[in-house]
Amino acid sequence: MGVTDKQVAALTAQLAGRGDEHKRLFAELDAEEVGFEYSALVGAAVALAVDRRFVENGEIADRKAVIDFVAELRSRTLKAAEALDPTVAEQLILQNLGKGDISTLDNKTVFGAQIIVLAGLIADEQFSEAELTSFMATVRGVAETWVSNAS
Amino acid sequence: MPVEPGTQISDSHKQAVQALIFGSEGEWESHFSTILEKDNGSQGYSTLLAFSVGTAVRRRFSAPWSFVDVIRYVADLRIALDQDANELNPRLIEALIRFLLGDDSVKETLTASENQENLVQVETLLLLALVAEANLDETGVNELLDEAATSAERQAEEDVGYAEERLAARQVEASGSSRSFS
Repeated sequence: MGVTDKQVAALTAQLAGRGDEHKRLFAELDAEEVGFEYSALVGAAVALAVDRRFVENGEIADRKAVIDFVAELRSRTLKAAEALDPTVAEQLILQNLGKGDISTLDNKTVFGAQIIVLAGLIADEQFSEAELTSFMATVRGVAETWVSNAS
Repeated sequence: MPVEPGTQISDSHKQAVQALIFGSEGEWESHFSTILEKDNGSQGYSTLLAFSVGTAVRRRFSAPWSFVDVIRYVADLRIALDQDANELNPRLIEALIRFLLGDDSVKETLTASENQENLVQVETLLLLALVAEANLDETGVNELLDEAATSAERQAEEDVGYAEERLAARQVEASGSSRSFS
């Protein structure tokens, strides 16, 4: 099965800050799709958001920019400061830039970091509703490819 | 910060920390060997190092400090160290700074067995960074070490006083218990 409208709607709601809607839609997903298609969707969203933020005219930002972003992200709320391990977040971003390594991290740790990093990156984009919908359409396309390649 | 009973801080401990900051690796090793031979162990050196970091941290982060200040400081430190920072655990540095500023909620991170090996490395790095940032010369570092030694000695006295109070309390408790059975 490919990425579903409900999975896209659940992630879109979260990124748009509609917490209640996200919780309701996410609760309707079963464990298998959360672990596969929804994870692919989140991973694709992180990859594209990281690319938008840290790659400019083909030039990839250095490690300093990544450390700086993660510190700034953790400084936004005490919850983020406590929940987000800077080393994990930095490796996650660097891995998406072809420089890091998250192979030693467990899925739960990576997923937790992905959500916080993604929320931070999207908040900084200040997308309109239409821009977020367009971004999510691109994300869905990437995730569909990953899912079909992995199936 | 507890101090082992009987810990004494001598000039040789101060000279070793001075060598750690300003000297070569060989000079530091020479001072440290002397401490191990003459002072029968490195407890005084470890205590002075820990209290020097504590003193320097409290000078750097004047109240009211926030967790955000600490996050920013550690990030900037790691950026400045560039590749040398790869092996450093930023959460351990943050926890050390917060603990030295009086935040006991991070004590578990510092006492975790997997962090013990890295703690001295983190203390050393932090001290070097704070001394460099404050632009301290040898006189400035001497003042820092004197202040740290005084704090450590005061803490040792308080720890002894506390131990004696506990002992006296236990004796009173024991005599009270024996009376209740008589």
